[in-house]
Amino acid sequence: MGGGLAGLRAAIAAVESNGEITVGLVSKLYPLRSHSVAAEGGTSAVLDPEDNFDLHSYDTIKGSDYLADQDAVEEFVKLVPEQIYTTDHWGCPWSRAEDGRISQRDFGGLSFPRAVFAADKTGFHVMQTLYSRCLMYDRIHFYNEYFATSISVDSNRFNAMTTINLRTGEYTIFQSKSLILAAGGGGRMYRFSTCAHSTTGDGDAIAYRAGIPLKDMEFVQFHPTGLVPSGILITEAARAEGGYLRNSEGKRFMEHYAPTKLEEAPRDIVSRAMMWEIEAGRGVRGGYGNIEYINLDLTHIADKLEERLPMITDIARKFNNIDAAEGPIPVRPATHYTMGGVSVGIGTETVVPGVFGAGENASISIHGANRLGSNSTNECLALGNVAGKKAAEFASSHGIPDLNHDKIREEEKRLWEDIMRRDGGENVAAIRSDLGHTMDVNVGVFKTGEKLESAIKTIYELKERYSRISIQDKSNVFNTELQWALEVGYMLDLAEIVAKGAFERKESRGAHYRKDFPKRDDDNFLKHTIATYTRDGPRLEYSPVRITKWQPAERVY
Amino acid sequence: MTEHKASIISWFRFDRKGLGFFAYSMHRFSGVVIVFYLYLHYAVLSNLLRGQATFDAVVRAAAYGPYGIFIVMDVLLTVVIFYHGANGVRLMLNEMGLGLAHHKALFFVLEAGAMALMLLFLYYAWQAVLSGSGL
Amino acid sequence: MSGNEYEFTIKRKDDHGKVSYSDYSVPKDRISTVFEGLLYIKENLDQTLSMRYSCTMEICGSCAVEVNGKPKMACSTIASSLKTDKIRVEPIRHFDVIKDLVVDLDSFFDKYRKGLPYIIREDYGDYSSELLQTPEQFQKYEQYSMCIKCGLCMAACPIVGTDEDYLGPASLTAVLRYNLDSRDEGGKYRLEAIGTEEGTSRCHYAGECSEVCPKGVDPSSAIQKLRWQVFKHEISGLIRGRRK
Repeated sequence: MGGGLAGLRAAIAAVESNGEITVGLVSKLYPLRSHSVAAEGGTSAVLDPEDNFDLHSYDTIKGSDYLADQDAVEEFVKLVPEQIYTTDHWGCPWSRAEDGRISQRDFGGLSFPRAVFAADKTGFHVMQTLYSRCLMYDRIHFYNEYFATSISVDSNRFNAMTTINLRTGEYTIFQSKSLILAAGGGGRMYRFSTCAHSTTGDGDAIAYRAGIPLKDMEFVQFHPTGLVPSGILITEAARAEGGYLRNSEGKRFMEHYAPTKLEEAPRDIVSRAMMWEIEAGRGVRGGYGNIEYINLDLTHIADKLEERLPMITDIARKFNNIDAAEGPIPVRPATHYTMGGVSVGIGTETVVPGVFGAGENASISIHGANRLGSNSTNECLALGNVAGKKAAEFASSHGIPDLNHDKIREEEKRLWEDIMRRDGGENVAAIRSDLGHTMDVNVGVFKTGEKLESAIKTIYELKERYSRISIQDKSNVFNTELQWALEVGYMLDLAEIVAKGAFERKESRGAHYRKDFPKRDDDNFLKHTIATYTRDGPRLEYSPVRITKWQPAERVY
Repeated sequence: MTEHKASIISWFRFDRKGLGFFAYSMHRFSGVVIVFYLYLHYAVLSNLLRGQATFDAVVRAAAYGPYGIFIVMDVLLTVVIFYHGANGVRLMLNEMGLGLAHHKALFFVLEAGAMALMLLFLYYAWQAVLSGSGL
Repeated sequence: MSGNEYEFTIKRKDDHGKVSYSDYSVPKDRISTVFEGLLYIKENLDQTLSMRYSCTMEICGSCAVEVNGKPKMACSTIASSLKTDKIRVEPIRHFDVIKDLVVDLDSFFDKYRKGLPYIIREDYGDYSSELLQTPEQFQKYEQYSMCIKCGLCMAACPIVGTDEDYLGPASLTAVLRYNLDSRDEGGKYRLEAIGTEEGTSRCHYAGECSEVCPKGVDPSSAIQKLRWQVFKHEISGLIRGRRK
């Protein structure tokens, strides 16, 4: 389930590891429309002999504010280099040095320039590469534009996935021996977000409702440089290549917040610094209404733009009519990534045998409280590969369980006799918009207990309103309003988990910053939040963080 | 599957289209005209089978007879042929990978050259017609 | 250009195939791009409108539509740049319409697949280091690797309109992209696959694909280059006495 980087990688791994496996790739989009194509900056891999795995692990763990499971990180960094070479053999145009070898650049929070990149279109090129590779195999069947509504688990096995074929409106059931969840994150529960409109956390919510617990959902990453006013991502590479952030006084304020790394500090730190500046009245106001923002100045690296940052230069010109070589780009922190996700072990397995998770959909956890820039595409590749192999292995030793007809009918009733027939006059889009506003304001870069309580209250109100929606579009074919309604339902569930998790976590760690508890509290909160579905909302439990070599220390950049 | 199919008329909708499209449409149109002329030419030549006298009469009728319009048609035909030839040269060059980056400029240059040649041709042809030795 | 509202006219098609036009007024200060206009309409004025969209940053290729008669990406078309307040949005041409602005792209992706658009090598499985490729070698195909498979070129191509079997600009450009890649060894298979009546030979160089391509890929020049490759391949085949 899911046709992005992790999904495609897993599909290829499954068919290549076993000559008899067939894979159905179910996606609500055509695979190339997945949001993975929008990944820009790069992907970290230890290729240089002077670099080493421990250093990559350390950077990742320090970036995660010590919430990452260290055994998983150590395992993961070793898997990445092979994936870079593999995709290279499959045609990915990684940017090269003059001698023809893959070149690497610096990125936020890295102690060694190890981000492999394809100009500033890394995700796009890797996606094209994986998609093209998929086309070699007749055993990968694409089910494009099938919208997943639920998965059913029966006697502790994955039983079936229910979908709506958007093209016809038909209720379609998929049965298989194993399932890989690779449907991405839920960044769209916020309004100002770098995420595509399709990034609605379907995979997380569907798994959660089926009883698979979610891990660390309160950690939502804010990317420092979301283009104002659209929220389009301006890659971190813009700062890694030497771009400056300036406040309304024209000053490079990062020297106060991260004296050594400056603009190249990890995302959580830069985002907070920008918000402090804006709160202190040093935000820039300009041609974008009341939005206050920060200027990203690239004029001093104008000569690099064409080769290294062509896409964002193009975006600034097309969408904001700004020539990045001449003037600054207006940016503001925007929701970018959900560190949390379906709780999986090192082998990407979930609590339900036969169900695996990979990519942003899963939390293993490598990213802990804050993902380092350049650690997501490599995760999709490395763990997508693992998930594909494991799922194939599982499938070759298990049969297809008998379809549980009751659950299928129950879901069918929910869709057509409940959701489609609700008639309370509430507009789905208005609920989504109000949810986004609440999340932006109350569950944003700076949180407080008060704000979170108010957010939880609003989410309850929205859930109540959600029970009174009216779907105007009664058609079967391509009913995107029904799709919206289901997506909003998913996001309301996830938002509740995020807000409640954040409320209970009375400390500040990584991307999660509580103004009322501004210090990290290792004695009480060096642990993962595990959210399990109950009828009355999520039940929160905690599990320990696995630490191997690196004891938690203060995080200074 | 045929629901979306466009008609040949769509080849001649120039609004909001680029120069390449104009060149393409005109190339198709001029090609059709040339083929039509070719068959007309055969038809006229085939009168030779009915003897020299018949043929001469037909040709004289076309060139000097009451239907002076044929002279105008001849000129138009020349325009079409020169246009088609020049654009054909451009297409051949492009297909060999030459001048691809400047194919629009190439279009203007070749067409201008062809039209200049054509005027030269028409000048001499007209001289020949006037002196009566054109046939 | 003087009013406070854009007048959107959208071509609709319902479940039963009935075609109609709907008009909407969208306040200028609420939207910047045509996509935002469509989203505003769907959120506030008419929930039954169907369209495809995702990234809104012109990289996913979802929102190809025809704006005032020209194929464009809705997300990157700034409404004020159209120089008129009347915005007419229709589904892209040359594809079957499923509903409203949503068209059936399966034929497009099927054609794309016909050109074997992937690296073909003998040494699969040995992934212990990269394959060397200099920046110069990369630049040969760089431009052609930027295709986002949005389908605008297919909508613009007059040949696709009258011959639905023609492989079309995107598919052929992908062939050139892989043929020019120094890591690839499968050029001849691709040339066999597309050196046909419905492949390069069908292009008549109207160049509209290059006019509308949002990513500056220039498919029309790619097809001309590919044609030369096909020609050389055929000639060398004849010389070697290989019958096709």
